[in-house]
Amino acid sequence: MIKIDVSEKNGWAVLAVDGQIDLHTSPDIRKELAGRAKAKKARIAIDLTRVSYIDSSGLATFIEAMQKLKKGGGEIALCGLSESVRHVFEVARLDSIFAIHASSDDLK
Amino acid sequence: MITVNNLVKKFDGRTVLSGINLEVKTGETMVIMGGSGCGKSTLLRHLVGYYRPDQGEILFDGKDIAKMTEAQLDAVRKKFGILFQSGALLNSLSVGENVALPLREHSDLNDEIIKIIVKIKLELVGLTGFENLMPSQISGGMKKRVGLARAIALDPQIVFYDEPGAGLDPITTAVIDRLIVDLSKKLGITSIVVTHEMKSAFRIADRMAMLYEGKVIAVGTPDEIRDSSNPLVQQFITGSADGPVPLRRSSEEYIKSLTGV
Ligand SMILES: Nc1ncnc2c1ncn2[C@@H]1O[C@H](COP(=O)(O)OP(=O)(O)O)[C@@H](O)[C@H]1O
Ligand SMILES: [Mg+2]
Repeated sequence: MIKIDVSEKNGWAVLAVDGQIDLHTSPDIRKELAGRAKAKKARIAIDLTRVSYIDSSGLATFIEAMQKLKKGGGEIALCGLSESVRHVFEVARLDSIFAIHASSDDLK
Repeated sequence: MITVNNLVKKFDGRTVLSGINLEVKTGETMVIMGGSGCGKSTLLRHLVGYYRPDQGEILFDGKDIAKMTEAQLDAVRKKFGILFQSGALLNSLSVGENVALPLREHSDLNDEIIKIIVKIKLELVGLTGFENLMPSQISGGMKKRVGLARAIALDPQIVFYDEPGAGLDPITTAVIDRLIVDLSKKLGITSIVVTHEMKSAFRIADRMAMLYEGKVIAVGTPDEIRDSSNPLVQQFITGSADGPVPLRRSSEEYIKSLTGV
């Protein structure tokens, strides 16, 4: 199971995810992102502090959101990646295409 | 993670595996080496439950794969990525659809998400942009890489590779080796790699096991294997033609094929 908490910080919608992101839970995140990503100039940050595992479907979900956001002039950022989660991005060579922050406090 | 105890397999009365003992630990890359026809692929096929042993057990996380029903095996195999010697692509499907196959079979993911995952996996094996080609339009080495992309489509915990470098040029082999190491070191994936290519074996292995006449005759780290005093091991890793491994390996088999006894 997964929990998604939405809050607002410095003009960003921060989605704090709690749980494992895998084949079963990534569709929930996708649903949460879908409506928000369509808005013009939306700024969405995903806080992964409480995520211990992410699989490729999770990566793909964030990439799809990035594609949609870019169309409307929006932005996506990722925060609070643990070492193991960061490794998943690195192996897929995706660490450079996302704006990655240590914590949601760094969102500007 | 995997423990093989006294595995015996015969084909038509001919013993191919004659009491294999082997342990593979979580997160390690175990290379299984040995001459052509010594039973490496046969061992691998037992580990993934395609062959049933005549004797012995194959414990995966403590449960015996050899005794599982097909349904139980299916559930376990979701955690496995398997790269066959041939690549085994479906010729009627595009490269991208081949990679997507396990995702379509084992998940309800949206098509857009599957397409992105396919792109990620193809990039990992150095085949970005090839998704719309058909298998008949690409080389054998590329098919192998597509097979690998498909094997890792579902982010397996453990990946079995049968001769991942066979038929590939040295640069592509190095790319695949790098990927095997990355998957293991960065994602903690356990890898079991069958190969007879020593350069590759020493590059990727945490530990190596050498098969000879149906048995594991040596297991150890690359340094331990390099320093092994076993002449069979030395002959194999240095690739010298003269030594205790007879050129006509299975005289028993040969005689049997001629005389029928
Ligand atoms: N399904 C089978 N039926 C009969 N013989 C087989 C079968 N699979 C493998 N063998 C035999 O087992 C031996 C080992 O084969 P294999 O495991 O493919 O060797 P390797 O992968 O080390 O080259 C060979 O002599 C091969 O002919
Ligand atoms: Mg083989």
